[in-house]
Amino acid sequence: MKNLLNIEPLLASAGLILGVLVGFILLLVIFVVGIFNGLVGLRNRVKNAYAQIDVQLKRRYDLIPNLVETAKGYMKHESETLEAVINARNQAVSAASTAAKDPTSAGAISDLAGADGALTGALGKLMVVMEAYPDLKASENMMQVQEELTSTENRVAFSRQAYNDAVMSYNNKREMFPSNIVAGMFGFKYAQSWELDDEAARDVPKVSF
Amino acid sequence: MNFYEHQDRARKRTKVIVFLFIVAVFMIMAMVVVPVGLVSEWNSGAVVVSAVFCLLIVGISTLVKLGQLNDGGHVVAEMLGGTQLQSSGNNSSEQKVNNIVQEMAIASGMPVPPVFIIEDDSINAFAAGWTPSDAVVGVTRGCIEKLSRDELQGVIAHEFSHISHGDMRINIRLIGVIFGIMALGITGWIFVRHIGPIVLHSSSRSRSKEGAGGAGVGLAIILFGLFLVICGAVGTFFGRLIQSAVSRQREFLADASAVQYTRNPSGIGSALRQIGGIPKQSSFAKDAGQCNHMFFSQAVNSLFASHPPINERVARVEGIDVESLPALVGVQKNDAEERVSGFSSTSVKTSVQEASAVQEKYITRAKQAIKNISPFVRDALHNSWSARLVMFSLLADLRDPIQEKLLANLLTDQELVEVRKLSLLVNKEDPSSRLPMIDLAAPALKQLSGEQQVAFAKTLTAIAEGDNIISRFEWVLISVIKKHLANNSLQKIKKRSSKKIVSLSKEVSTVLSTLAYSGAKNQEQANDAFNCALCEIGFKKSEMRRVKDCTMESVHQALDKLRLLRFVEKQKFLDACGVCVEHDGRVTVAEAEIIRAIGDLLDCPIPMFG
Repeated sequence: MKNLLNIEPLLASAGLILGVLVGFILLLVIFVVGIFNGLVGLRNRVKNAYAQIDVQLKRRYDLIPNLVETAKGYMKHESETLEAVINARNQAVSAASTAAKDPTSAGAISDLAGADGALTGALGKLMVVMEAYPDLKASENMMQVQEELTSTENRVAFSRQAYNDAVMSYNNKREMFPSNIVAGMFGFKYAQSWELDDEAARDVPKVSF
Repeated sequence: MNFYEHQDRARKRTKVIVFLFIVAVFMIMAMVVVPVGLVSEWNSGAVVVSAVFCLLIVGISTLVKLGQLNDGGHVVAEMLGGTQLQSSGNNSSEQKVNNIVQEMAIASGMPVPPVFIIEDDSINAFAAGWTPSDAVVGVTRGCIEKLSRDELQGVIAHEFSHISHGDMRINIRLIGVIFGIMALGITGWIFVRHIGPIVLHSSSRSRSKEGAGGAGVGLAIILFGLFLVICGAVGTFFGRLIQSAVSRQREFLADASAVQYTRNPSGIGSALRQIGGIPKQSSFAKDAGQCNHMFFSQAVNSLFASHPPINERVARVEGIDVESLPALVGVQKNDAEERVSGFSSTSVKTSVQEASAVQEKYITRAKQAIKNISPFVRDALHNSWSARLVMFSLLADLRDPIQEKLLANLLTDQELVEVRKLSLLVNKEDPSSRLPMIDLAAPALKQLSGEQQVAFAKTLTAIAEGDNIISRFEWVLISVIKKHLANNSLQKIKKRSSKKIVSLSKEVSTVLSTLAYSGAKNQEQANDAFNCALCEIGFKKSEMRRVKDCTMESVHQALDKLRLLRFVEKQKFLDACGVCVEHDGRVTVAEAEIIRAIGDLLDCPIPMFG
């Protein structure tokens, strides 16, 4: 009888230890779930930001013919510049559709990057040419065209920037302690930031009159 | 500005402050519960009842307030008199606003919010809404008309940060809890004015046995009520204090994020500058001030009537004119204003504004200075072999036959030819570009191997000492170059910069005395300059060195020790150096160079000044 009675405090302390252990594990699980969800959220932001770049590029391709049409009436002497913009746009569109068919082909992607760089250059040239026409700049229509051009270019740039920012915060979370443990457990992959592979696209477009 | 760092700091501080806020709320509750416990000699019933009473009042009124403030951004913007902008704007400037909002939505990775325009000439903007999906952005007409595209982009980016970081949510929650604490005070006031007197009155009329007990209960109720009033007032005061501290941090965060989204500090910088230039008492801002205080002033103002200074202090803490405190305006508008994270009206933003403004100014100056250097020299500075020669030609005067002979001994023929060529170009230089030339040469010089560096330093010293006089410029050049080179070598000792300026008074006075002598014509002037500089630091008395003690070597040793000063103290010391140099009313290029060199030697580089 006595022996049995002595077990009771032991049992009580074992219960206590068990309780603490369960509590600890529960906290750990909550902690891991929190980190996991944070990582998933950041990864989805990266994906969304990447899709945004595409959306903005598409928007730019759609917008350019309209803009050039509006500008044509005002800038008869600059038909070459306008022509160059349209050509660059068409090339970029066709490069984009080729790349879309086979996204794994490195050649197609670098073609797209090249065509895109050329388009940026042509648009930049157009903007500079517009600067040279003070009365054109004053006209309401032209101001709208210019505003649209500025905004379009900004959007493309901002979407890339947002993508890189999203990549950075995702990679930070992925590599920093303690979230790196969770990231390793569930195989969160390193995200690549947007860089220009094409040297030509890095160059500032040269404008000559 | 390093926006990631600023963002981190703002976030950390917000966390600390919000934690303080939570602690403060519990302290207020403890303030009520502990005295009740003391009076009742820790009767558990009384303690529990008072704790539950506090929790209920604070909790329920917080929830009620949060419920009231729970409208979407649309409602708030309409309360403020905004009209929604159509998706295709009526004119080009409205289209511009739409475009910018969409650009910023892309840059911050958020859904595009509806845009509201308030017809007001002041420059202001706000964000409202509980979550990103129901958030709206509002701008005043003045904001659209008066700001350039980049500036407007900065302002909108600032508002997007408020949406993205949930600042309105934080603010509303704090307001809710503050209202809860205030409700405690209001309950106390009801006890004092209504319930207490009624109990007293009824007990005094009924002259029965219970009368005396009733009077006691009445008095106790009044006392308890008074106590609650005090708790509520103190709590509200500190709550407001903390709320505005949080809000300031969120403004910091938003400014830093605006730079992140636009990658263009000058946009938001010059927008803020524009706002600073316009008289602050625009009608919109004035209303906002009154609104911010609406229910605070209604309840607490009467309680604080005997303590106007505290009221004024609250007003100062919140950056609002004290005159606007007593005025009451429509509750509707007030409510709307509380849920808005406005763009302006916080003074702390000026620091960012200055930072970006300053940056641009210095960049222009630096560009100008680099432009003044002839292209041939500029190219030479990028190559470590020829960069050395540029430095030699800065020091040596080839017209002096002794120096020429010295150079011929020290250098090879090829080098001598090159130095001759360079010194023609270099000597013609405007003296203000001499220091920039050293800065430009630094990267190339660092590429020299250890041995080459030692040889280079030796040659440099030999040339400088060639005429037996080390001029100020020679000293500056040699010390700055040595500093650049030392940074490269392994012997760099990383000690914590933690010294206080008081502990290095001897070194301070050595440097300041030297500066004072070098700018002054006679002993008296030097004394004056020295004493002025000491005042700047806040030293009462320190002995000025004698002229013969002020050698380049002693200054060098002194600066070596001063390098261990704390950063703030270094600034103080540099300010004092500036005062010393400016004492005679003019700053020569040589003096400016010395100050910059001292800054460089203290690991505290100074941007180019005029």
